[in-house]
Amino acid sequence: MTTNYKSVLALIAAAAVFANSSRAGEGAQPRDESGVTLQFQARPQSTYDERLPNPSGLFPPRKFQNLVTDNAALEAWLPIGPPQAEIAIDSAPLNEVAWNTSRIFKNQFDVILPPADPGLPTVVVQMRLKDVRAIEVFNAMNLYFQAQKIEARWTLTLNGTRPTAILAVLPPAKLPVPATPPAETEKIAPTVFSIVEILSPSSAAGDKQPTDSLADAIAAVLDDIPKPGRAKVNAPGGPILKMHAQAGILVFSGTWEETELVRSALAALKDAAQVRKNTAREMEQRAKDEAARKAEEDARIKALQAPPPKGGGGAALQNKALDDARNAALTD
Amino acid sequence: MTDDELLALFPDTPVGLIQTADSRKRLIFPQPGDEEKFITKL
Repeated sequence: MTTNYKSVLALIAAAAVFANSSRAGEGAQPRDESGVTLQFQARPQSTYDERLPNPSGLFPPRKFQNLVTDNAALEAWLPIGPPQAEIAIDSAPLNEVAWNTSRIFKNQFDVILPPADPGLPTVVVQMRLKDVRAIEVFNAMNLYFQAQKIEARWTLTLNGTRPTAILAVLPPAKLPVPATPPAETEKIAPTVFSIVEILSPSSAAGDKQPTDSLADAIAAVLDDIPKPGRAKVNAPGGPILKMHAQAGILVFSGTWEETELVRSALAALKDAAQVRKNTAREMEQRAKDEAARKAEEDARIKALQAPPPKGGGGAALQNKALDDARNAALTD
Repeated sequence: MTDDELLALFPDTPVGLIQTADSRKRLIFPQPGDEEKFITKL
C-alpha cells in the first residue's frame, strides 16, 4: 500500500514536471533519464497582455516595437492613461500637440523635442482618435508621419524610471537616384549618324559639294539656337561636326540638346531625300513611258508610209515593225 | 574626316572600313550588336 501511494506521488510529480516543461515552450529542453533531449514546440498564444510578465520568458513580437525602445519602456508606457474617450487634433503644430498630450495625461511622461528645429512648427498634425492611451496617441502620430512622408518619429523610452517621449527628425532617406538624361547643357559622347539615305550617289562617290552643303545646313540649324555666349559649330568650345561622305557617316559631338537637334534635322533631311527620290523615280518612269509611246507612234507612221512588199504579207511585216519599235523603246 | 579618324571613333572595338564597287565605303562591325550600338540610324 505504501509502495502504491509512493508510485502515485511519483506519477503526479512527473506529470507536473512535464506540464511545466510544455509551458516553457521551445526555450526549455529537458532531458530524460536516458540523456535524450526532449524538444517541445511552443504553442502560439492566442491572447497576450503586455502588462503581465510572460510566464514562459519568451515574448511574441512586441507591440509598438517600432515605438518603444525596450520591454521596460513598454511596461512603463502601457499603463499611462486613463484611455481618453476622444482626442481631436485639428491642424496643430507638432510641438503643441506634444505638450497638450502630456497635459491630457496629467504629466505622467516627459517630452523631448529637437532643439530649435526650424522645420518643427511647420509640421502640422490632424487626426481624431477614440478611446486611446498615451502610447496609442504617439503610435498614431508615427503612423501619420509615415503616411504623410514626414521625416519625424516618436520614440518612447525611460529616463531613469520616468516615461519619456523623444521626437527624432530623421535624416533624409538616401533614395536611389533615378537614371535621368544628361542635362541639356552637358556635353555627351560623340554620336555617329548614318546618313547614307540622305546623301546622293554623287556625294557618296566623293563629290564634296553636296556633303559640304549638308554640313553647312546642319551647322546653320545649330547656330540658329538663340543662346548668348554659345560658340559656333567647329569653333573652339563649340560643338564638333565631321563627315565621312564615302562611308555616309556624320559625327557630332555636342550637348544633349544639340545632339537631339541634329538628330531631328537629319531625320527631316532623310524624309526630304526620300520624297526627292520618289519624285525622281516617278519622273523617270514618266519619261520612259513617253519615249515608248513616241517610238511606237513613229514606228507606226513609218510602217504606214513604207510601200507594201511584193508578194503579200504586208500587214504581218507592219505588225512586226511595230513590235520591234515598241521593244526597242521599252529597252531604252 | 579621314578613314583613320573615322575608325578611331570606335576604340577597343573590332571595326573595318570596306570599299564597295560603287566607290562607297562601309563600316563593318564583325561583332553582332556593335553596329546598332555605335551607329545611330535615322
